[in-house]
Amino acid sequence: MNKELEKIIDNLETVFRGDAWHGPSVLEILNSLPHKVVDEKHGFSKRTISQLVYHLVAWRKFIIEKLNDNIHYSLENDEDNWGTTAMTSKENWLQLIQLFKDTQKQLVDLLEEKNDDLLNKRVPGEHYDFYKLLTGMIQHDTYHLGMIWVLWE
Amino acid sequence: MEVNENNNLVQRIKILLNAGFHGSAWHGPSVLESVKNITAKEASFKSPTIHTVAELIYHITSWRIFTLKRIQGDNDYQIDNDKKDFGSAPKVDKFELETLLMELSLSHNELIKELDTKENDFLLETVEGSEYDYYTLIHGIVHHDIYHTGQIILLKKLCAASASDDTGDEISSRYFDDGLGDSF
Repeated sequence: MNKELEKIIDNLETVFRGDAWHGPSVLEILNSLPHKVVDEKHGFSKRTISQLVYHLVAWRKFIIEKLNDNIHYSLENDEDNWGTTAMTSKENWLQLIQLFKDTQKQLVDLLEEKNDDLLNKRVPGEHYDFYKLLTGMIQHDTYHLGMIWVLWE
Repeated sequence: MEVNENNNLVQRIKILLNAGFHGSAWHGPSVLESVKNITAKEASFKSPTIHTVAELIYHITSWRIFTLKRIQGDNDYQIDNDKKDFGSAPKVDKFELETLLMELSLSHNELIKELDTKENDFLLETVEGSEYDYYTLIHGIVHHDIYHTGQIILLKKLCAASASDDTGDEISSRYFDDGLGDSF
């Protein structure tokens, strides 16, 4: 299996928009959500659905920066991680989803230029390699997707 | 387990599977971290449309068993109804919860043991009766674990937030009810 990166890109895309093994894909859930729930605040959770979506975008951006060798890039504060009120408002939902799709495409395009050597390469400024980061991000998608499902309740 | 060029890809997935289950995963909390110190009440909390944590623990175990059966060559085994998928006890007492957690860990250990016998080629074998390979299945198990971990974490918070509505009713046992409750 020389092209493990291809398998990882395939997983990344399948969990995002495809027929994912674990259950519903990210876009399957996001496209099914009633508009009124996307920025609904719940007493039991600190985050709204749109904040979680922003968070998934933010970590894609993190990876894109790291693929571009930006050693100093990090998500420093709440705004970096969870977005601004305007960014995560109900009114901005469609733009947020578009940003999510665009960032996903940008990430996949960048990864498609790479080969399997990337996977063993240390992420600039971090103590782990790209294998852990990329597989971790797919898992991170499913983790917050599970939460989005409960927040939809 | 000695890692060499014949099994390094299997061993790499095994590390992810273990991290997502036990801890030190990149994304955050593992399955076991999410259910650490969970109470029977939390595990039995029912929201209108979501399975209880007890059912989700059963469900995570079910798919490990499915995976084990396929790896061991049992191609007839199917999870084809809700009972096989989520069990038949959405509400549990503490003994039932312990049993569920024990079965979960046993199924995980069995799966790890099976993976330790495999070499990289195994990952590209098609899972009998499916259109996907073992690479997809094992990664799928990891994603599935973590998807439900996210749900479990919020269900616990939802349960805590609903505590004010609590009637204080004890949850009765189906498997172990001997009329003595759980006072011993």
